[in-house]
Amino acid sequence: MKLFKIFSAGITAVLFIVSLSHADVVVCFGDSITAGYLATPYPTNLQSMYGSSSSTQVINAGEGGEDTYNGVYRLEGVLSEYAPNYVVIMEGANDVMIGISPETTVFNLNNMLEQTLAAGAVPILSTITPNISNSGYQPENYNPGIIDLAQSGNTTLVDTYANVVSDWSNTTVDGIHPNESGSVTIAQGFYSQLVNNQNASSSSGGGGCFIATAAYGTVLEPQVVLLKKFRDLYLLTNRPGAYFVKLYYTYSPPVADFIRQYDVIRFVVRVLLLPLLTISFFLVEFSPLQQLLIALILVCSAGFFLTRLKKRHWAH
Amino acid sequence: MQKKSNRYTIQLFVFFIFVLTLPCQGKAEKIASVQQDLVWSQSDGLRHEIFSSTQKDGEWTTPAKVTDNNANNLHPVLCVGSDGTKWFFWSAVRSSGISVEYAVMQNNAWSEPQALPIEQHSAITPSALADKDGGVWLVWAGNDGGNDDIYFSRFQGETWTDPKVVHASNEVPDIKPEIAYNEEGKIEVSWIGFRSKAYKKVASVYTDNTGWSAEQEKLETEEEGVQNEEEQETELPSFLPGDSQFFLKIY
Repeated sequence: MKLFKIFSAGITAVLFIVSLSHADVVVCFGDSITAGYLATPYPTNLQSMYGSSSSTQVINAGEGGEDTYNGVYRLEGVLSEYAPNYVVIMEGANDVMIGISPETTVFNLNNMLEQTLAAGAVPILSTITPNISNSGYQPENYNPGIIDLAQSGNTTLVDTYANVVSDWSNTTVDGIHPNESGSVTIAQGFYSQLVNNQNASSSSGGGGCFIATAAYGTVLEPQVVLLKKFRDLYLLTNRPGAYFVKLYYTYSPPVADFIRQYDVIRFVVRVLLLPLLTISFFLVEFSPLQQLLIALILVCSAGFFLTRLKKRHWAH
Repeated sequence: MQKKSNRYTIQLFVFFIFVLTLPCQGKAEKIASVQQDLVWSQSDGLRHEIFSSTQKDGEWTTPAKVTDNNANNLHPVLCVGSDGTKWFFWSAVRSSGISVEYAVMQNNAWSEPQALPIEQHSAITPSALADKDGGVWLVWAGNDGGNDDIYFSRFQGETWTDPKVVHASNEVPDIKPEIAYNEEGKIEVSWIGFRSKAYKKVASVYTDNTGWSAEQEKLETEEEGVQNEEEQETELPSFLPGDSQFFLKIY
């Protein structure tokens, strides 16, 4: 009875942590255009678009006046503090003023993408907004490199510059920062992309998980979305994993077609996928600290269970 | 008797006035011996242009516009040669790329601005030093499509030497160079380099025999902090915009 209590306490703790981490966290990282200046910041509008009942939490991690040179330093702390699922990165507008060339901006943004992926989050890169003020920066020098970076790295890009440039004179407060209308337009661009990502339309290329899709019915099922995230973060990022994915896409479609025909087999496959889903959830949805905590709880619970089991065995 | 007394009174008064004005004369001499050159980047409503002014005998000259080149001109720096020639460098940002441009002041007039004769897609943040032999050293962060490296070139005779990289070859950015004499009287370039997954300040020293030394990480000293405080105490002219990039040369 005591053993059961110890084990169930461990399971309860795990479930508690699971419930805490279930919501999607979106971090918006950037300079004053993200932080907001004389208007509602776009992350606030992004949160409103999700609605109050949504489990998605949007964090405004904008820092006025920041360039990518300093952003490289700051991002690590932001990722550690919020353990996000998605990170929207829009930075570089201040770079030329402090002497950062477009090539160094691209290097810094790439470093931010790597930090984001290493933290288990999905990065969404953005071009920088237009400038029709008297200040010295020219996004035209910087945006081509940002677009190339996204394309070469298969990173999701939101071309905010293209979204707002045609009406920028009416949607900016000072030629640099968006007004209320501009802020909504910027948020809308990110919202569309984020919803796509959250609904499993992964930017990393590749098709869906055929077998899971056949077992669960559609690509929109959260289990399929979870497996895609696992693929993007843990398989496509290394050579053996990418090779496995390639083999999977070659041989799995006929198997999926077979599964789709029989409800019983679909049910069996769903049960068989549970361990993989559990591992994927553990790796994708938790921060490294949470992962360590859960691993410790499970190991301790298992340790207590085995010790008691052995003692009972010797007693008999 | 009364006349003699008046004369003594006047002599005493003159003596006191002389004694009281002694410190003022010293200050006036000090002001007269210090010359300051100020260059800055300021928007003219369309783009950033470079302006200059000189202070002598406590008065700043009317700001002179140095550039008018359809570019955003940023990061101005200035050095003064041993013969009094003023060399002035800046970054000219155009949609086609970024270049280092310069102008020279001789006979109280700026020369026509011209681009540094280099073929790089981006050349930004120049820093200049006039050496004791009358030569001019220039360093900047440049690249031709890859990551920024720190380049240097010297003005010898009437031409610039071919640009050469200061540091060992690498695949990371090297940015924001500054050239100056170090405490040992040697020419030193310090800059920010991406090393071991973070940006760090590094430096290299030039010697005639071996060229640039291997870079060494440089920690910011307290002395540099004090120097910055002294710079902040310098009174700047009221016509300098508060948010402008400026470079002040005191000599």
